[in-house]
Amino acid sequence: MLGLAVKRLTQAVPVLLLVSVLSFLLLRAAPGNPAQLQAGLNASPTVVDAIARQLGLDKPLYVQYWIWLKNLFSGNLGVSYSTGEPVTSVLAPRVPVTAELGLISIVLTVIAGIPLGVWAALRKDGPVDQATRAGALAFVAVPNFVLALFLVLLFGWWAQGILPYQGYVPISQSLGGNLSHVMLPAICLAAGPIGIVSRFTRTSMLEVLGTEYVTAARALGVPWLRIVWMDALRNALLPVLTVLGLITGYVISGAVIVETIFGLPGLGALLVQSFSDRDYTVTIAIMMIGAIVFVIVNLLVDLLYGVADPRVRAQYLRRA
Amino acid sequence: MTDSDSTAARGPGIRTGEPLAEVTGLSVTFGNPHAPVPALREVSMRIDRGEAIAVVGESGSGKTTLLRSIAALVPRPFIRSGAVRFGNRDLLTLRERELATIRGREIGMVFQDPVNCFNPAFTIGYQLRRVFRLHRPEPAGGTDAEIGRALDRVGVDAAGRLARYPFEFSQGQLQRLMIAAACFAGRPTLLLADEPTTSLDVTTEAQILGMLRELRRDLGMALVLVTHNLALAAQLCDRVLVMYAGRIVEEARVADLFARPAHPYTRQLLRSLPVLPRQPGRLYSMPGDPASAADARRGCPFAPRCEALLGAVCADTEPGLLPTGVNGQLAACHRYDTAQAPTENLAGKAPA
Amino acid sequence: MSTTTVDNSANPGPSGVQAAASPRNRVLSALLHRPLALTGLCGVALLVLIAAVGPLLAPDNPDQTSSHATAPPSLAHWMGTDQLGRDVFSRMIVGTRISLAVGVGSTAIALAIGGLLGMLAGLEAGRAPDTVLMRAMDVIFAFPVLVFVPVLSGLAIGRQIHLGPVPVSQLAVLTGAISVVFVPVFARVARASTLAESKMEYMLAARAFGARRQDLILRNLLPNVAGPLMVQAAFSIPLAVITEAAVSFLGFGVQPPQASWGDILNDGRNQILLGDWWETVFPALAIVVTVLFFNFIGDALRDVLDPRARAREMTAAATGAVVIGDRGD
Repeated sequence: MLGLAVKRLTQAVPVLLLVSVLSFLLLRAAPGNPAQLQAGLNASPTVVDAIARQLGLDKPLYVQYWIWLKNLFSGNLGVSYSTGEPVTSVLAPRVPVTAELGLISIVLTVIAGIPLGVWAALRKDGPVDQATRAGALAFVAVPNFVLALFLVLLFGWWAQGILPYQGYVPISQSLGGNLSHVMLPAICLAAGPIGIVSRFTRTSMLEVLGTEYVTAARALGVPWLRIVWMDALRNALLPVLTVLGLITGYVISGAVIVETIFGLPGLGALLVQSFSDRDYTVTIAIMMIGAIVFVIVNLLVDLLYGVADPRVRAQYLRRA
Repeated sequence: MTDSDSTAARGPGIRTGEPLAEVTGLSVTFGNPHAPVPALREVSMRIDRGEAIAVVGESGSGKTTLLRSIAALVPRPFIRSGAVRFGNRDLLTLRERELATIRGREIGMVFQDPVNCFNPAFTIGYQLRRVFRLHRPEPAGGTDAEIGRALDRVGVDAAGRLARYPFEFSQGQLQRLMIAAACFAGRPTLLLADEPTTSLDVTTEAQILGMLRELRRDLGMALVLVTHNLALAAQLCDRVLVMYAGRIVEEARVADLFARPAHPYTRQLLRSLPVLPRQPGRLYSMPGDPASAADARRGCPFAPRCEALLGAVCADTEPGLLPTGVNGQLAACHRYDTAQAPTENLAGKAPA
Repeated sequence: MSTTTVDNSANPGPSGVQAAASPRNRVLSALLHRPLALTGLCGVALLVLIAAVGPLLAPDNPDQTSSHATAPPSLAHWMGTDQLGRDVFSRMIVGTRISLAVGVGSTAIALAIGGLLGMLAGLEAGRAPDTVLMRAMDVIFAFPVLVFVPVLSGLAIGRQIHLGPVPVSQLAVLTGAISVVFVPVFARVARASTLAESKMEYMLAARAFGARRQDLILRNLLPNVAGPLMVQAAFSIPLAVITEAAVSFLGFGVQPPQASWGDILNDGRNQILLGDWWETVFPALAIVVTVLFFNFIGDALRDVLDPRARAREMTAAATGAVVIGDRGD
């Protein structure tokens, strides 16, 4: 099992490194002199020079990257060009918002998508099956931001007062307020994934239910409910796990636009705002975080897969 | 087609009285109303206690569907008509919950490809324990001991193996495990075997065959063996049913089938088996391709390939299973219709 | 025993030879005989028509401001006007051209590059080039689309970008950025397909006969890999359109006065709370309808060209950058 973890980790590390390289290159590709931007418009040339030396701007690019990377590992993500604060403290208050949004969206996806998919498979061609098929298509066609705009139109103009369509209330202030403000954005982010996950679960379940071992279990007298719950679900959910890893990317991506539309003070909204403020250190930092989270989540999914599927486990044990 | 005549005509050595199981007039059609795919047409068969029956036929003949129907594994909507009586109940009318108490306990089933019959995600131990606990809740010495005994009987060394996964076993071992589960988890009076040795190599096949023979003898189970291999049928069974295009076309005692095949299909089938020492000349092969039950034609389904056609009646009317007059042998051929062909009866003649 | 002549013609049997339909015929048949696919095809054709010819036939100059600001749809302005008094209908028509161009263009580029890379990786499966290529794809894939594209595209706004001596427009950068994020999808499809085909006997035979790499790719692999790639393209185009709309909506894409559907949505964003729905509803409808059309086509194509994709189903369609089935490595 350790061999499996090590193998996956060694695959992830170069990816993470390349992510950092790409992020750094984009940071340097941004317009403007980084030292100047950091020092501010009114800074004196000496200050600018000092910062330039600190960042290593006079040195070759790969040295600059190395300096930047070292800073990264010591927790220094740079300094915000617009506020002068360290990037970490600019990001910190935003993280809970986005994290909450993301988590709630994924939870919604799982508790709605999987049971719907199982139901659609067990009652194939029944009303739930047809509904999920139509629903999935609908939510592929209606992108999350279009849905978001419609919801704002709905709750902001036509049916005012039912649900808030703007802003955010921290949990510490009010749990009810917090949830009601996150509700609509989470629905927007979860709609598409629910469609995908439900259809995928359905396909996976049908595939498993058609296998010979399910028939053999029936022939041995194992009760149907037990077969569905244990054998079928267990095997059918594995591929769904992989899908969930990829859904994470979709959710992270969608958070940017949904937070913007609903006015949630999260990392996604900050990405947009910082870019227009030319606060590139913040922008690139957020970009990097997004990528890293995705890589880590998929790494976890891979490891889980390895734990769950004994064949995969054995494969890696033999190789290691 | 089972009537008291054929029961009496079964010949000596075959028990009469209440059958263990009986299939009457079973018709199965898959697909949907727009594109029906018939698999079985009005099939009837009778299984007596302790007897071994072989169901032979080529692909598409419906033999697997027949076997699965006996275990009521074919989804209800596909069953057009018919009944499967076991004990004093019609299995086709029972709910899945009730069927689960019969399957595995009174009826055991062994499948063709053992690798696919176990869930790859669970250990063998889990899968065996689950079945054993279902049907024998309080065995002496505990469930694992019971499983151990069963594995001994089938020749699998249980030591430490229960914690392994299916992919760690060979085909032969998995087949033995499946037989163990089918025969020992409950106390089956009927064992259904769907080509149990087809995916095994010849040596393993021989071992499994021997084992099945032993088990049958020791446990007194009836056996319905589906196979396309006539030799297998000869080794293991008392009676043979030949299927073609979803129908039973011949029924005979094993010895009779090989010595005096009655139906032209059987005769041609036996002719295509190469015999050693080889006679000079080309090997015989049957013309055409096997028909499936889906071919909707009037008359005898075998007519297009038959080398013993009687005449226009073969293309017009489908023959029923008729007694050939020898040892209770039945054949679905107009040649045994005393009204049709009084003199051209093939029965009693050795194959050409 | 009476003899009858053996007559095979009466029963050709299930293995009887039928005329094998050529791939092109099968595709055309699939598209034309299914109502959904036909609808999709007609819809896309209509969109292309609008994109090509529309701007010439637009009732008003899309950039023409007027004093009739934020007017609801009327006979004079079928889709109303925006806050600068511009005719939304005309802007929508011009937007069609931009949205489709970016969508189709980026997909085409991604297909070409990704397909090639994927095939190369598949041929080198397990060895260094494969690992390197796939890791590179993983890196691109790791960045959230709506983070990566806006940044890439945004960096080009207001600046003169040159690819060597050739100036590159912002629109081109946008198209390029979107194609970059789609390359991994096509690479994976191509690689998976290549792996599957490599195992087939005809590839082994070709290699045994000493075929060169280029020949292997062009003559043997390409025809078989093209199918799944086409299917993926049909599903990726609408996703590219959505991505462009999202990026433009955020302000990182097409810059004013040029307008794509995303820009119109963005313009209308502030008007929503005043109840001015037309700047939102029409572009939204356009997007939804475009996606549906392409998905219908894609569904039909997939049934014909890529039976293996059955299991990947909605995942490929919906997230666009996803291919499950072969788990990559």
